[in-house]
Formats: sequence, structure tokens, C-alpha cells
Amino acid sequence: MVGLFWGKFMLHFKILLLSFFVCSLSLAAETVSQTQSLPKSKIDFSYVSWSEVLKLEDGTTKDQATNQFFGNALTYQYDFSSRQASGFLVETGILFGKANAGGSQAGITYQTSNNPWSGALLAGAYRWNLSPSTYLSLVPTLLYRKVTMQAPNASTTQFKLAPDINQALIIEARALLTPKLSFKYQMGSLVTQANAWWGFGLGYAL
Amino acid sequence: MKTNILASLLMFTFCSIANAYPEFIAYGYTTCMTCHQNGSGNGPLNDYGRALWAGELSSRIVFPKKMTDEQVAATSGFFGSKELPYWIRPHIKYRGLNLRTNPGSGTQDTTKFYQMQAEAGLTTQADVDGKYAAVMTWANMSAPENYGKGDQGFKRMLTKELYLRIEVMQNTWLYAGLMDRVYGLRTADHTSYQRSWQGFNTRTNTQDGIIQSTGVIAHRVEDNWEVALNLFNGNPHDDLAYRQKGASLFSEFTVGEYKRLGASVMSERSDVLKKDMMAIHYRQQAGKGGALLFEYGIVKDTLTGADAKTGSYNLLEGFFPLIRGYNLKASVERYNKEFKASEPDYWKNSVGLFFFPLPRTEMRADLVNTRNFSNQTANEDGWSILGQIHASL
Repeated sequence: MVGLFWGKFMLHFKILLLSFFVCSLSLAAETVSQTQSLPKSKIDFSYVSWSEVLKLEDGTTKDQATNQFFGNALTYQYDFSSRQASGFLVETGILFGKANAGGSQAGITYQTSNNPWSGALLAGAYRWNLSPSTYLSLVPTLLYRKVTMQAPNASTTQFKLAPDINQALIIEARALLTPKLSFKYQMGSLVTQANAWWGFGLGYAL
Repeated sequence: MKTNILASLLMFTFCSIANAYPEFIAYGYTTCMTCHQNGSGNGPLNDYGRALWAGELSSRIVFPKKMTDEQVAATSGFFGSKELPYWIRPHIKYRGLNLRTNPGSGTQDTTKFYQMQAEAGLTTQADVDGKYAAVMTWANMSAPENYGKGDQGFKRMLTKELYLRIEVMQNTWLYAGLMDRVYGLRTADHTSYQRSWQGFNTRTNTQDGIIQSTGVIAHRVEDNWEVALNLFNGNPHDDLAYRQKGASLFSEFTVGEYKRLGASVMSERSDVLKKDMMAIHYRQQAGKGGALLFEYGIVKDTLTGADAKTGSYNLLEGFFPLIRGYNLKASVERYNKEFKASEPDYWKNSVGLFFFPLPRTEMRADLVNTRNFSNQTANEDGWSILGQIHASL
């Protein structure tokens, strides 16, 4: 219980830390001008979440639960296009976090929380320049994740996770806060046995 | 599915109202005083605010190219380009919300239309410079038994604002009467967790009270900072037991070019609820027309006869310009009612269009996802589609 409370406290602490990080970096840097644009390489740190369908079966009854993933992503993005133009980019990185599974199943009850997971992603994207400092990207993504789930109490109950490798289609909006620092917001969906993806974070130009 | 319903309830049962646009730091406007009669935001626009909406924020699609922005702005009066005497400024506002919850879910797929805001009023001022002014607004406030049914209509027009504003010295204003309480960022999102859990309601007889309250506000606005102190005594439309009495303080400082850092505190009491809150916020321009907003707050609620519950919320919003008059708005919100591991974190993500197709008109279309994290359960996501229209004369 203490650990869980500590986890919650740390979440709030991280949110605060993130805000101060934004403020301090923003203050330290010069204001974005109309002529500045997205640098070619950057590192993003973001909070991400998505939801998967967990299939349950105990021999005679079939049911399903929700498997909610939340955690962080650390990614590297490289932009092929010229600085002033729309164009293609690639992104790769690692992800890690926790997952809670459960729900209001009618037939089989299964509830577990804080299952650790980690993974990686590879994405190609097309970016449109909305203005000299705001961008919109369509990001087809290949996501790999490995989660360690607790087994159901009843020995007869089995679960089937969504595939470890999944695809996602994500829309990303990004705004330059300073020439080096950008804010990004993502919303999209995974394709197989899964649901919405969202994320938000900061990018730092290299 | 229970979660979907709960998420919908959380989003809309506690629907609050907030009529200011801190996002417009995107255009270089750092204080609400620039556009609103009430320097803390909300309520009727002043002449400059009307002109700004028409001449800078709105799409120009209905105006010929040869017409300048200044000429467009000159049509922004209550009667268009016909100028009224300086001492009278009428206003009429309407907001309607079409809400579809759980789209595609069969029997849980529901659509409702809400009359969010219907109001009319006028501002009078005793002098050309507006040092002495009075603001009056009458608005539809649904009775508690009708709220959320989507059929409130215009049956209950009550006094929403009635206050005097005096510029007591240069850059210092004193307000007295019935007006919005001062606290935190006032975003244009009427269904935000941020405003909902702060408890700023438009309904009568809720435990948090109505957002408008009788009281006084002292407001000082300098180039690089502003501070507002509000002492309030409850809303006369609430029954005595629900009238929140207390004080709040709002402050904001310029910490860089078009970058503002602020903080707010509020402490209030009624017969049913004791509420204490504090928040920090930050907002900045992200290129011309773009903005980032952040607020983190702590809310402590003590219901009469119950233990205190302390929780927190945060709001993160990105405002991205598409073309003139059309913007993409994305927000992430989180709310946790109590600092306990068993208490879920409610997350709400929304992305959508926020646009001003014509002067005096604002429209929004949002896709909203709600997801709750808890070590007790994991539920399906909730989904909603919102369409909103706001007309302001």
C-alpha cells in the first residue's frame, strides 16, 4: 500500500517536475521567431497510454477484459525534409511502464494491476508545416511491447494477450516552444485487439 | 460500460462555464483586461475585444479581399458598423452543445443537445474612458431538477452579473457586486476537469455553489504582472446553505516574451462544504497563433460531517493554428479525487477543431477519450463527440 501511495506521489511529482522543466528551458531560451523551424534531429520524452483487449477463457466460458498500458517513451526522430518544407521523418525509441487489467466481465473475473512492460517502436511519418512553429504529422507506427502478466487465480482460466507486435496510426501535433524545445501531442489507435493511443511530451533538438 | 457512463457523468454532470481564452497569448494578448469588461475574464467583451475577434481571430471568408482588417473590425459593434453612444454597450450570447456519448456502442450510444448559455445584458459607463462602469447580465440558469436533461430552454432567466467597476487609480480597478470568482486559468472548455473540480458551477444549489458570487475584487494590472484579490459572500440565487463565502487570490507574472507564470489560492466555506484550493499555471506563445497552457492544482474538499479529501488535477493544452480563424486544440487532463492508491486517476484527452468561421461566431468539434487508471479495476475507454456553437452579439 505504501508503495502504491509512493507511486502516486511520484506521478504528481513528475508532473510538477515536467512543468518546471518546460518553464525553465523556455525561460532560458530565446523566443521562437517566424523564421525558425523544426531541427532535423531531436529526442522526445513523453507520457503514453493505450488500451488492449485481453481475452479470457476457462474451458467453457469466454470473456474479455481491458488491459490498460501507461508509461513513458524515449524516442529519437530524424527529419529528412528541408527545414522549411513539409516532408518525411523516421522515429525509433524505447518504452516502459505499467499495465492494469480487469473490468466488468460478465463470465470470468480477472483483475490485476501494475504489471511491468517494456517495448520499442519504429515509425515513419509525414509532417505538414502548419506555420513556422507548428506541425501536424501522420505517424504509422510499428510497436513491440512485452508485458509480464499475473496469472489468474483459477487454474482453469487462461488469458490471451494482444500480439506483442502491433501497428498503430497516430496523429501528432507539435509546437515549438523555443528553437530547441517543442511540445507534442499524439492521438491515434492500435490496430489489432487494441484501442486508443495517446501521448504528450517534450522534444529537444540536437 | 459502467465506466463509460461514469466518465460521461464526470464530464458533464459537473459542467462548468468559463468564457475566457488564455490561449490568446498566442496572439500576444497576455491579460483578460484587453478584451473583457471584467479584467479577470468572463462576461461581455469590450469594444477592443469585439474588434479583435472580427479583425484578427475570425476567418475573413465572407469579406472581400479589398476590405482591410481595420474595416472588418469596424463592423464588430452590437449593430454592426453603426456606432452606439459611449455610455451603452448591449450584449447577447448563446452557446449550445451537441454531445454524443459512446458512439457506435448500440444502446449506450446517446445524443443530447444542451443549452449551455443564453444570456443578454448591457454595460454602461459614466465617462468616455470607462473609469466608472456598470455591467448587467441576465442568463438562463437551469433549475437543479432540469439540469442535464437537455431541455432546459430559456425558462429561468436570472441575474448572472451585476457589478460596478471603478478605476480607482492608474492600472487599479475595484469591482463590487455579483460577478465571477477569481481563480486559475479560465479556459474556453466548458467540460474541463480543471473547471469542474474547482467547483465553478452554473447550476443553483450544488455543494460548490455558483461561480458568480457577490463580493469585491481589487485588481491591479501592470505591464509585466497582475494580481487580483477577491472577497466573496455567495450567490443570492443559491439557498443559504450552499452559498460559498471566502476569499481568493490570483496572480500572474511575465517571465519571458509572451510567457506567463501564475498562481492562485482560494478558501471558501458553506454549510455543506469547506473547500480549499491552490494552483500554479504557465502559458506561453508557441509561434504566432500557437500556445501552450499548463495548470496543476490541489483541491481539498471537506463535506460537513465527513473527512477531508485532498486531490489534484492538471491541465495541459496545445493550441495549434491551421489557417486564419481555424485552430487545432488538443488537451490532456487528469483528476484524482484523493491522494490514495485506490482512488482512480481520471484522464481525459480531447482533440478537435476550434474555429471562428465568422465574426461573432465560434464553433468547436472535439473527439474526447476518457480513461481511468486504478489498481482496483480497469475499464473500457469512454468516447464522446462534441459539437458546439457560440454566437455573441
